[in-house]
Formats: sequence, C-alpha cells, structure tokens
Amino acid sequence: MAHKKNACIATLLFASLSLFAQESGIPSPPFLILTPEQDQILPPGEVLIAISVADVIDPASIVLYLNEREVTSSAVVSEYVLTFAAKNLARGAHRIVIAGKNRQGDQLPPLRGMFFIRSDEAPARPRPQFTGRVYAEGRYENICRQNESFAMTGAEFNGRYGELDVRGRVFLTSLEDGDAQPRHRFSLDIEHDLFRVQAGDIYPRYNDLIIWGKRVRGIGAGVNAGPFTLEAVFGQTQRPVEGAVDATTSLLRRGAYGQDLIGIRPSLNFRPVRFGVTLVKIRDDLDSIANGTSPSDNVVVGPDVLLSIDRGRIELRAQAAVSLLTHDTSVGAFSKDDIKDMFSAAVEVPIDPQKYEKILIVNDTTVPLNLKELTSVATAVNLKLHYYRNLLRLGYKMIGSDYFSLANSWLRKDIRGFYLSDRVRLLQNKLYLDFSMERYRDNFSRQGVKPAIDLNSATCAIAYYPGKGLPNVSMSFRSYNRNNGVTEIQLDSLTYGAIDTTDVREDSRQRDIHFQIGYQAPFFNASHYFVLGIIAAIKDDPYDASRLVGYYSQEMTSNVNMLSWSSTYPFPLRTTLSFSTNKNVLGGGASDFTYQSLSAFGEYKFWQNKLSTFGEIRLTQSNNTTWTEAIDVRRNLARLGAQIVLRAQQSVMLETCFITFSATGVASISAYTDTILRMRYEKLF
Amino acid sequence: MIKSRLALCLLLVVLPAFEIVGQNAKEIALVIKVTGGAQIKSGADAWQPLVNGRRLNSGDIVKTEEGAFVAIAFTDDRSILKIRSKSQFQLEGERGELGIKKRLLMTIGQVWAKINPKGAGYRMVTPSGVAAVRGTEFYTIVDADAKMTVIGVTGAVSVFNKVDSVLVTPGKTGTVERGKAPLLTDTVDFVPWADDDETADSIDIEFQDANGVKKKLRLKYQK
Repeated sequence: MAHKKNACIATLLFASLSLFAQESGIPSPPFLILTPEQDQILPPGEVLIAISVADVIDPASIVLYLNEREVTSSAVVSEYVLTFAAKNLARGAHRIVIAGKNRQGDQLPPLRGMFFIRSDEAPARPRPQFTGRVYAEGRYENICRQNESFAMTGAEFNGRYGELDVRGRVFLTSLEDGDAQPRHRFSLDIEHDLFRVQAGDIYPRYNDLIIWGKRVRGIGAGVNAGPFTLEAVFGQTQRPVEGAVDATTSLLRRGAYGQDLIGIRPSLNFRPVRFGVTLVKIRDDLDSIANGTSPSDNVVVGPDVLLSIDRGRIELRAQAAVSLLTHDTSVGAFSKDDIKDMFSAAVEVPIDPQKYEKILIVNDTTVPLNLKELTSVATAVNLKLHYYRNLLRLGYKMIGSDYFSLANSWLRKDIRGFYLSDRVRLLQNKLYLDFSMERYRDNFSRQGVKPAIDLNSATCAIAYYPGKGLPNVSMSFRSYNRNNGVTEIQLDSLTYGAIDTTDVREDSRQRDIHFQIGYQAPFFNASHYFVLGIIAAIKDDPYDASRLVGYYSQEMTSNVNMLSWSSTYPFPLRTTLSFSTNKNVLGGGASDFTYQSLSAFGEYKFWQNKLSTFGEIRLTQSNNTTWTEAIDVRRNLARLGAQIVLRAQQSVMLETCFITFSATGVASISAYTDTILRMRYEKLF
Repeated sequence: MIKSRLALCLLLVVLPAFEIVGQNAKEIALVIKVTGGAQIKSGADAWQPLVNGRRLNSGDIVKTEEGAFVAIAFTDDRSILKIRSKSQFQLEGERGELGIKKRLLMTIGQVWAKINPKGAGYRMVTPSGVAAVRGTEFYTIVDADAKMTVIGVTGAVSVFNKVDSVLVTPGKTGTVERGKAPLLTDTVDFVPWADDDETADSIDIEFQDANGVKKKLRLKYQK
C-alpha cells in the first residue's frame, strides 16, 4: 500500500515537474522588444513600449531613447521589464533605442526598433511632428573656497515635416565669456533623402585622419544624386579672442585668431565599394586680432575607401592624407626668389608660391620642406572579419612627423605600427576569449634628439557568464613594453654650451593582471549582486640600479582591490555598498601612495516610481609618503537628492553634496568643505 | 513510519521547488493590450482592473468580461497570447536557463497563442486535457462543460489526456472531453479572430473619391 502511495506521489510530482522539463531553447538576449513589433503600424493614441531585460543587465545602466530623445526617467524599470507609455506621438516613423551595461560594467550593443503611427485622417498637407525637451539647471559650487557656480539652459527638438527630418539644439550657459572660446551651442539640421543642410555648431566626420568631429560654427550641406554624394562645410573652428598686453606692449595673454575652415568631400557609392576624397583648408585670420602669435595655415587632402561585403561581415577601410602647414603666416608668402635665397639657390622651384597664397601661404615655416620625404603623410588601413563566432580586426597606421590637420589636432603624430585583435564567442555566447597585440614605433622619424620608442603590447582575456545561479568570472593579462634602444648613459650638449650626462635609457616592461568575479545571490526575498575585483600592475626597469642621481627609477607597483554589494529589493529600494583599496609604489620606493574608500548608496522610489530619492556617503582616506614628506588626506562625501516626475512629462531634480577635506603634512592645505547644490528642471514634449 | 518518510520526501522535493518558483517566477509576462473590462488577481490581493503594461507573475489569475480583449507577451521570447472575452486563466511559469517554461491553466474562454519555437516550451492545461507545443500558432476554446477544442494554424500541437493523444496540424481540430479520448477532425466553419484587434498587421489608407467622399482601404500584409 505504501509502495502504491509512493508511486502515486512520484507520478504526480513527475507529471507536475515534467511540465517544466522540456529541452532545448535559447538563452535570453540582453534586450527584447516585446511591443511594438518591428515595423508595426499602430493607430494614433498611447503606445506602450515594453522591453524585456535579461538579468545580466545592470538595471541602473539602462537608457531608453525614443526618436533620439532619452526618456528613461519616465519609464518604469523593474527587474525583468522596462515599460514606457508614449503619448501624443505624431504620424509616421518612430525609433526606439535601448542600451545598457552588463553587471561587469561592459557596454552592450544597443537594440533598435522602429514602428509607425498611422493616421485616421487623410493629411491635407504635411503636418509637423516634433518631439523634444527643454531643460534648465543651476549649480551652486563652492570648491576649495572658490565660487564656481553656473547655470545652463537648453532645448532640443527632433521631428519630421513631410519628407524632412528636422533636428535642432540650443544650449546656453552662464559660463559663456567673450574672452574665451564659445560655450553656447546651437544647431539646426534638416535632412531629406536627397539633401542635408546644417547650420550652427556642426561636427563633420569625413575622414578620421583629416576631420572627425571637430566643432565648426557655420554651414554644412550634402547632396545625394544616385551613387554620387557631395558634402561640404564652411565655418569657424575658433573665434577671435584678443590677447592682453601691458603698458610696454609685452604679451600678458596670447590671443586666439579667428580660424576659418572649408571642407569638401565628394564620394561615389557603388555597393559594395564607397570611395571618397576629402579636402580641408583651415586658416587663421591674421586681421582678426592685434595681439596673437603664430597664425597658421593648413591644407589637407586625402582619399578614403570602404569595401563592405557579405552583409558587412568583411569590411575593409583604407584612408590616406597629406598635409601642408605653415606655422606662422605673419611674415606672408614667400616668392620663388625668396625660396631660392633661403636654400642658397640650390633648389629648383617649379612654381611661384606667392601666386597661390589664397590656397596656402608658403614661407620658411611651412612643413614639410620636402614633400618627397613623405613626412606629412598619414595612412590607416583597417580590416574586420566577422565569421565563425570570431570578430577579427587587423589594422595598420602611419602618421608622419610633419603631418598636421588642424581639423583633427589631437591625432598622435610620428607613429607607425599595426594591431591585431580577435574576440571569440563560445558556449552560446557565455564564454568570451579575447586576444590582441599592438606593435607601434613612436617618434619613428627620429627627428630632434628624442630616440624612437618601440611600443609593444599583448593582451589576453577570458570572460565567462554562465547564467543565473553561477558566478560570472573575467580575467585579463596585459604585457606592455617600451624600449628606446638606448643602453648607455649619454653626453648631451646643453643650450648654454655645457656638456652634461643624460639618462634616457628605457626598456620598461609593465604587466597588468585583472580578475573579477560577480555572483548574483537571491536571499531574503531580494536580489543581491556581489563583485570582487583585483587589479595588479608591476613595471620593471632594468636600469634601476644604475640610474644617475636625479633620474628616478621607472619601477612601479600598483594594486587595486574592490568589493561591492548591490541589492534590489521587492519594494522600490536599491542599495550599493562598496569598498576599495589602492596601493602604489613609484620610482622604486621614492613615493608610496595608499588609498581606501568606503561608500554606501541607496535609492528609494515612492508613488509608483514618480519620486526617486537617493543618498550616498563615501569616506576616503589617502596617504602619500615620499623621501621628503608624508601627507595624509581625508575626504568625506555626503550626497542627498531626489527626482520627481510631474505631470505632462516634467521632472525636477535636486541634489546636494557636501565634501569635507582635511590634510596633514601640507602647510598650504588645511581643512575646508566643498558644497555643491544642483537643481534641474526638464520637460519632454 | 512510512507516512513520515513520505512526508519528509515530499517536503524535500516540494519546498525547493516552491523556492525556485518564488525566485524565478516574477514578471514572466507583460500585458501589452487591454480593451474592455479585464481583472487580475495576484496572490492574496483582491481582484484589480487589468491595465496595459501590467507585469504578470506566475500564479496570477486573469479574467475578461464581455467585449474585452487582452494581449500578453512572455518576457523571455515574446510568445504572444490573445484572450477573448469571458475567459479565465491562470498563468504559470518558471524562469530557467533556457527561458520561461510556460503554462496556462484555462477553465473557460478562448485564447490564441503564438509560441516562439526557440523558447523553453508551452503547455495549455484545461480540465479535460493538455495541449503541449514547442513553437506554433493555434486557437484554444474551453466551453462551460470543460470541453477543449484546439484549432491548428501553423506547426503541430500535441493534445492529450489520460486516455489518448492526437497531433493537431494546420487545418485540423482536436477536441477533448473529460474522460474521453481526444478526437481529430478537419477544421470547418472557424473564423480566425486573432488579427482583428488593433495589433493586426494591416494599414488603413483613406482617400477621397471624385465626389469628395472619404473611403478607407485596409491592406493586410503577411510577415
């Protein structure tokens, strides 16, 4: 009888559990748009946007955009789902973008979706359909007993009028100062399938060796005619700011010349090949200010090619550019005879540069002096292969020592080399293997007294995200070597004629190790996520023992340990407790720096998440001991704030922050308290 | 002695199961559309009006009133359920490594289900039988006498009870009554209704004729 009961219960349990015991399936993607469906056509009225969020995502990192406008603050984000009720959407196309980071802090690729609102009425004429936001923010900041307060306000809109996409932006700040470069920003962008017009502050991206994101205040335009596209930009990259002189006309502050830019890029797009040529000219306006130094003139030209085949799985990009730069145009353009005089008539000049001074002012400050040496050439080639769960990247770049593009002035010069990287996804995207290596030579032209430096690095990393219930683990190792080939202490001529010894020997090798483990553990009816991270770095200097006096050892060790505990409760409370330590020993013991930080953060939401309140306390202590002094610094931070979402898509945020700072061992620093008060209002349309 | 061992075994098996369901049964589905009156009962809470965007946990009970319509999306794979008026069901699910294992306990009403074949599986349990699917589209009707009718649209649905089982394919209808073997017949006189709600894949174009009279043309497209 007992056996029968056992069998019966076992059968019942099996039957019950077997309902959940089917095989196969796929792991959830990070984001999944539940509604609307892709390209779904919906009637006018409120639209529910719902996105499923996998538990690998950090909910606090999620951002939702509707038509390029961030609406995250108006969305309801819960453990597995994000919902947003979009109201008053205009007829036509609407775009959703959702992005976020995983719990390891890695940015995940955004998910995009599109849907349409249909009209219940036949439109007699195009009606504007705009979304946008206005905001105003005031900050009272008392930092190091200095008042750094400022205010800003702005508006953005994005919409469609008939076949035109229209975007606009205004940003105004109290920090705007006529004696500095502009801080206000404004722009209007009108786009059609056949053309595009931009005005205000625009950021053209034509060729990343020549112009890539530089702010130009002016006008930009583009025309599409079948496979042919022509883009152009005209404006000012720098406004004139007069320099300051004293009574003896000595320059107290160097002024900035007004700097004008003209850029043009014709391109042909015959899929799968796109070919373009970019020409950019930048010149400082010599007459724009009276007190400035070294007005420049720059011309850069170069082609770019993109080959994209097999739906983008193979992508080859190649770019090249050559530049001419005159460092100082104040002496004017040289004639053919001036140049012959400069070179003692030893060179044959085929043209008279003075005739072409509208294109470029050529004089003795123009580089390169000799185009044949190719020192003002830059090239870059990048190949991407996306096959068999591998993302393989291979690239080569060479930037000449005399290559200058004032429209991309932060480009590192005088460097050449290549990189190779591969990322492999295995076990249904749970296991990631990364490998990369770089070999570059800095200062490869060996101009001046600096020797060339070989920069070699190799990195390998592994990350395993097995899914719920098991810990996520990531590890990486990086080796980085700098070698300038100088093995002896050198004698060097000083500017005043004396001879001195210099120690520029460098053959350092740095190794970084990173380890992180994260574990999600639900208990006490709440979701908890623990992260332990360790970073260790060590740098060896083989010349440490024989360094000259006054030349510090390049040896270094650094250790960082981090522990954090984030909790999300069934009621709207989120907390994070974290602790970190850091110890750095530099210069072979010349400096010893330790740092500890303990912080607690909490966020609680009221009234169906309409009111969000948060607070943070962070205690920091550091100690820096050198041969000559020991400095102890304590920094304690308290932050409190709230954000309330009001009717009609309005929100107000208030945040206060107090930081007490005290130091011992430094005569110039005593104790003070920083105060930051921030208030922000925002309304979405 | 045997009873106490049995109870212990039961406790050891059932308690962890409850714990797993409790942890992994939150927000298994989302209400993406509500038309007309519908209510939800979650746990020990009283019946509440069902609204758009409502998160559904395992164990939640939903009922629809006359003229109502409710659409639900599962949060792991976007499997969709559309429920017609005068229906009542309980939603169950467990979030596992491969997705949510879904179960709908239906006592009365009509439901259209479109189940993602890449999901972790779906079962529809009624007083007279069970419909088990991996990935398919089908209608289920449960009448006041607990008779279950399954109408296949795409894929295949296994319909079974303690007596026997049948495989319902497109164009076929499976019928199950309590204690009787399931029957398989050709589908006749059934008008699909799942596309008639506002979420249908169609576009309305209004135009005026020569006399200025407005007319509406509805184009339906197939994905």
